[in-house]
Amino acid sequence: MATLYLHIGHGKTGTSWIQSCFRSSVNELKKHDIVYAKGADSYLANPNMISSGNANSLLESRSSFESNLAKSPIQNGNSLLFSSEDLFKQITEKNVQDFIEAVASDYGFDRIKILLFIRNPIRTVVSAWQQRIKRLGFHHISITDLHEHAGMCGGKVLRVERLLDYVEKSHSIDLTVRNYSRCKDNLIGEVAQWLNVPEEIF
Amino acid sequence: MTYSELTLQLELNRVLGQSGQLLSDPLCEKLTEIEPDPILPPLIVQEAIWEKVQPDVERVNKRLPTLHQYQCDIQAPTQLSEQFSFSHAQIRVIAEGLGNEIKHLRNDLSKSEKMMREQKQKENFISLGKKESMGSIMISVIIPNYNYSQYIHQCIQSVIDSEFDLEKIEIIVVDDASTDDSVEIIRDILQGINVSTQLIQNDTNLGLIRSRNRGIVNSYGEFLFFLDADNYIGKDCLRKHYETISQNSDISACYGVVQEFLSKTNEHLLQRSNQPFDYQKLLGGNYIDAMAMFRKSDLVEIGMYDTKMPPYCWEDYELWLRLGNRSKNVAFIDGDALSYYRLHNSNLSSNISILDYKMLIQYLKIEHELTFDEFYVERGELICCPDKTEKETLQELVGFVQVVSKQQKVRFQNIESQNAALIRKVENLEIMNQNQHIIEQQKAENAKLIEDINKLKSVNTHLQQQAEQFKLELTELTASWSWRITVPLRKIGIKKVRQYFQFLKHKQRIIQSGFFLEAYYLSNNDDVKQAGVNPLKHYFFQGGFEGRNPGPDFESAFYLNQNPDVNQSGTNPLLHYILYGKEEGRAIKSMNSNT
Repeated sequence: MATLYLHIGHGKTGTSWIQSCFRSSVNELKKHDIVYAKGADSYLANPNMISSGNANSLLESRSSFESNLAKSPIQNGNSLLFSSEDLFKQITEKNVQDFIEAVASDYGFDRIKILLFIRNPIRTVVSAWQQRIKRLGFHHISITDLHEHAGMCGGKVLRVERLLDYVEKSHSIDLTVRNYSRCKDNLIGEVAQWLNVPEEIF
Repeated sequence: MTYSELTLQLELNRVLGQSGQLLSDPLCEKLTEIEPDPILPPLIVQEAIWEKVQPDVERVNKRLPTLHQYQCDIQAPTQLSEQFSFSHAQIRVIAEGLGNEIKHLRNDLSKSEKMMREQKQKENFISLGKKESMGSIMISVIIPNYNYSQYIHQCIQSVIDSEFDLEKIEIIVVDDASTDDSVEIIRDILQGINVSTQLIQNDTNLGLIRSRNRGIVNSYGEFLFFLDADNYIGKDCLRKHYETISQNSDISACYGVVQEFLSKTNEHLLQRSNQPFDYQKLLGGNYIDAMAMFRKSDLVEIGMYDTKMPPYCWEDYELWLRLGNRSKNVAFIDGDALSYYRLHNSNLSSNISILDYKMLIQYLKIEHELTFDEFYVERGELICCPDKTEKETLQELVGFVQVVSKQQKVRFQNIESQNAALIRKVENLEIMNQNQHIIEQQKAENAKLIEDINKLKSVNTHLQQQAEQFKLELTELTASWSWRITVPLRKIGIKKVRQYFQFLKHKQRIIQSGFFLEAYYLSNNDDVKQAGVNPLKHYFFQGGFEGRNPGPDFESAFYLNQNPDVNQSGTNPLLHYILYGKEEGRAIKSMNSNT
């Protein structure tokens, strides 16, 4: 069944590692009729480098999506796989939802499958705090002040709720939610199961 | 990351701001085998976090598969040692990250030092009354001058009159190859004062940017104040700037309010530099003047004034944008004006063409996300939008070429008919064979006329090609993005926009003139009263042009009739009188007026 696969994160749930697995298994995925679409991460010098995934064209515009798809054409019956944390941030927006559904319909995908990893609250907050120190130069929030920044997790929970609302209303979307805190030792196993491919291909 | 790595990154951030590329990135990329430490906040903090998210989590959990619901993950934190430790591999990666950065900086520094040395060697500067020890200099006042001999005395005198210890001030005048008697005047002034001074003379005209930079390179002060030769400062200007910038070593620059004044009359107009520093606001247009104080080390660090930018103006704007972009602290000194900006005919920035402005905007856009494009308001005036828009200019050029073509055509016809007449004459002469010499002369004249025709034909072809080119440009322009987005502005009409800015700028002046009396205007214009519109606005935009009088002492119709130039200019008659007519002695009432 031709499927539009969307792995949407969210942040600090092993997304970069999963994406590097996708990138290094493009040929194996193709053997199972799954095309990991060309995207911003297609031209990295080192497949282990951190990137924003391959869904940039899906989130930009129709023309960008189409011209990008021309670089990795899909044959009849092929499934298409996108992975990006940005999808989690944007998929609760009506225009993005409409666009994704229109793409699925126009390109003959029978269904849309979404994989979302969530993470337990305290670990999410601590991890987001560390990320801010590493990437954004934070120095003014100490670990003992983190209770004032519970929103680093709270916002994500509310977004998950909005995603659930959307999926409930839609008939063509199949959402899989996994708690990273529970399955971080078997992340690829979960991903393989979601894609319905053997884990060994990664 | 390990707790030690994270702590080191946090402390590095405290000094440098965002600096993950020096530490975290290489550690994460190169040492993937190192296990992160289980870093958790104290239990009480964890409980407070959980308490905040619990209601949302519980609500969402009801809709998630049981096995993968959110869990309360409060856990006693591992006691992390305050004895930080690093492995040899970690130390090597940290040393490489920091060492490479230092290497780059050293290279950059030695390059810029070399440049500065070379520049200094080339300089031809004269020290006048320089102290034996320059160590006591706190402030260098840098004054670039080009042909401002009539203003330079007031400028330098204002520095000498400062309420500040003159022992700590240095005056550096950089003369940019003036062609007037500036240098003699400056030399006279500087030799007669008891302040450390330098007169630096550029061999050729280098422009404001390079002149200021020469001043910086030769300065001894820890702080630099820029003062252009046509402006002057108040007595408390240097003191207040110094007090502000020296109170905190984090402040890279500071500025106070600048008062604009008309050179002719000394009349004070608008103020500039009168709002706090805000990079986002700056992206929408400059509001800060160059008269400001800078910490020299910070100014040198960011590369001084940008010598690569188009040399028309806005060098100060570029510098403020750069300071904002690099998150430098810039303090604002609120209160009365501290310095004075002279408005006169030869202000540098008043002689810039639209194309120059466009080039400047494009240049600044390389580094900064300016939020304005072709139109930009400064001191209540639209700039980058001269009297004629680009479209109007192109239309005018097309029209001009068409008119010239028509004229040329008429000239061809005349010449051709003259030519025909001459040919006939020549033929007759030939037939008559009366005077061979005349025939030859006419032939030569004829040949010359034919040559003229050919020349004119070629000019005409060239003009037609130009017309086609302009038409093409016009089509492209009207189809361009910037043209289309400014459609609303043009719909209002540039003239009206200008008129509106004129109104905003001069409203107070009209009221203060005493000629406009609201009660008089309303009692004499029932329609205005009934319409409930603002009488001043009505008079300014409409009534004045209809010949309605603002008060008993000014006759609009008389003024317009007497002064056709005012009528044509589209300026409100009373405003015209206040701005120009009064000084020019124009009459405002008819002799037999009984109003």
